Amino acid sequence: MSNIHIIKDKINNNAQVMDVFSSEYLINAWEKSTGKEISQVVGNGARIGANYASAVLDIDTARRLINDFNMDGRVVLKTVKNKQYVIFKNHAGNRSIFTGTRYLADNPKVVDMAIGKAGVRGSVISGARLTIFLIVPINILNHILSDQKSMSKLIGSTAIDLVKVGVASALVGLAATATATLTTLVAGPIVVAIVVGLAASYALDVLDEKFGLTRALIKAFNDAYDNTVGEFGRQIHQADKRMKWQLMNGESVGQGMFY
Amino acid sequence: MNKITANIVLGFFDVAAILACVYAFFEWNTLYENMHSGAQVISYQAYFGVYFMTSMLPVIHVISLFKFKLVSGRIVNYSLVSVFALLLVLVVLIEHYLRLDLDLKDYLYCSEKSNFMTFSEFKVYIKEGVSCSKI
Repeated sequence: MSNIHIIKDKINNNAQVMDVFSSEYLINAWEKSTGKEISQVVGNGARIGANYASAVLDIDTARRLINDFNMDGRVVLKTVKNKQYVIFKNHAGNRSIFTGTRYLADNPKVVDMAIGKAGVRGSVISGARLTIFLIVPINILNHILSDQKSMSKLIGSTAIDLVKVGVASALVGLAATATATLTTLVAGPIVVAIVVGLAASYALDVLDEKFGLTRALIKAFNDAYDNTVGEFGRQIHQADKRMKWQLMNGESVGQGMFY
Repeated sequence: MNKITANIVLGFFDVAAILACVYAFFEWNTLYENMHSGAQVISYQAYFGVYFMTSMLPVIHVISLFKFKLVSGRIVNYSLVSVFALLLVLVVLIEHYLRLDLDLKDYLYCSEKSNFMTFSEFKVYIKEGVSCSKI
């Protein structure tokens, strides 16, 4: 037996079957067996995560803040020589994050813990940024996985999502800043920010659903496309058809259209 | 922002919070009326109990008008955090019992007709035999 035959025999005796499936095949099989669309499951799960990520981080900040102040923290904002200070009114020795008694309002520690107006502003901006960073990729992922792909749907829903995040963030900023101006309670502004953030985002969804804002914007994009690019395509198609007919019937091509 | 402006701003939020609570209450009432009358299709915004959390806003506004000493400040802080946690649990409980009631009344979740918006889902439940397709 030659070496080649020996090798062939060895290969045949050690044969293993490996099936290679395309991703589309696997997705289809999964969708058939579960009766759900993968875009719905992945997209919706991710959306829920994106929605609550900012609120969960705010709750964590509130927890750290309350832990550090051991529930009896009071914050007073004072402006001295055009500089705003945040003054903490409890025993500094018990605190682990804010070991001092007063900080400048734009101190990174103060901003990071969402205390004072600068802190609230920083917290609102970072929350909005996080939501946008999560929502836009999720919309794109939804678009890729969806069976009915439509660019106007992707652009329309993303635009409305961004507007909603902007409006909700503005409301949160307004409410939390007003609370920070009035109250000396350390947990006040951040609790207000969480509550207003959640309620505003839910209320914006209700308005969207009731007045069909997303649907209207998608329809407007579709109509705009249809009236411009679509109309141009139809005209080209008609001209093409007419020229073919003229060519087949011995008429001069382009007559009545170009001359 | 000065104190008068802050009070006016929070006043607007107080009114909005009360309206949100009234809306959530009516939503809850309508939902149960529909359920008891055996409506073929029931739809609602999932976790709409979130609106009840806004009842904290007028309370925080009133609290912020007073200056507290160390001990009373601690009590207020404890109360605020406890009420917040309680309301958060209430939101989940409302949703849980609502789903249980819908199950008991033989309603089935229809994912085709349910609609995911930016932040929440508008859930649709149907009676057995009702078509669950978008068209």
